[in-house]
Amino acid sequence: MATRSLTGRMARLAVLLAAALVLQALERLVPSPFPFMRIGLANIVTVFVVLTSGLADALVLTVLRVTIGSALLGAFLGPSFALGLPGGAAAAIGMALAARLARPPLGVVGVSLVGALCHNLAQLAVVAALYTGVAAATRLVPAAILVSAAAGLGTGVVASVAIDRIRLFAPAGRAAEGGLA
Amino acid sequence: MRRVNRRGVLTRADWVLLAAMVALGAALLLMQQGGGAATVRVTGTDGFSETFDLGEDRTVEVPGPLGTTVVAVRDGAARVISSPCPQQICVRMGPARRAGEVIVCVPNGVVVELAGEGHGRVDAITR
Repeated sequence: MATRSLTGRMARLAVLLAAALVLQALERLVPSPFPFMRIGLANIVTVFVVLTSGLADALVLTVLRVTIGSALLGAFLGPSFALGLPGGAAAAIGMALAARLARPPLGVVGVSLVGALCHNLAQLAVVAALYTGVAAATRLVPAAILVSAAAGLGTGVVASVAIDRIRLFAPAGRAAEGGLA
Repeated sequence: MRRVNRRGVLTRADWVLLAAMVALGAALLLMQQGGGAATVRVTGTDGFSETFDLGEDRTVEVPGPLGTTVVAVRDGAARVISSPCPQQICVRMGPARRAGEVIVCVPNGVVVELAGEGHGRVDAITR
């Protein structure tokens, strides 16, 4: 599945990173009741990368996105960085597992739902450990699950369309794999 | 030739997962609803202090330097229904139902505090 050349992989990741950063910046404009409960627009890109080129690229992209994003938005090493990194990594790992173990029954949206859930629950775990303690964070678990369902559905649908339509960077031969009847 | 996954973006398993998440979240949310405030403490000047259950409807008259402040407990919420103070801020604060919420009438020296399990709500978040 990997792209053939290192240059190709770098170019592909760079374009996707740029897209993820734009989405992340856009999301700052959307109000949210809690700073650690986001729509996760940038997760669209993570879903895309996990499903088209695998976990390694997704993790590289997540680390770069959170680092560069927090530096650009003036929050480097601040709370949103401390939350974004574990959340993003948990989402990438969770989605890679879901894609590998349960992808025939689950579709792109299912994988995205798993990712959103991992993202929000990992962030809540960090919130509990760093700021509020377990009791207060536990009260937010139901809200986190509901937000994940909505966010995962939205990002999953967009990612699904993106995976169908965007072939510019896909390795040769992926078009056939899309499943002709 | 149509593509196999063109029937819809979501597979059946996707729908099941989505429904399970919504159901789980809603169920957990409902389970938490019981955790509101349990008791009200009403304090006035001259050492007036009474504590009672939020579950029982009642009306309390609290004496103060300006006159009588009337506090009502109804349907699990406490509110000041009348007060002799000039600005009526305590009346306009409306009902308080969560642990940690407080209604204060400064001119007449009346404080209505709700207590219960849990830490109450977050006051504010900045970022």
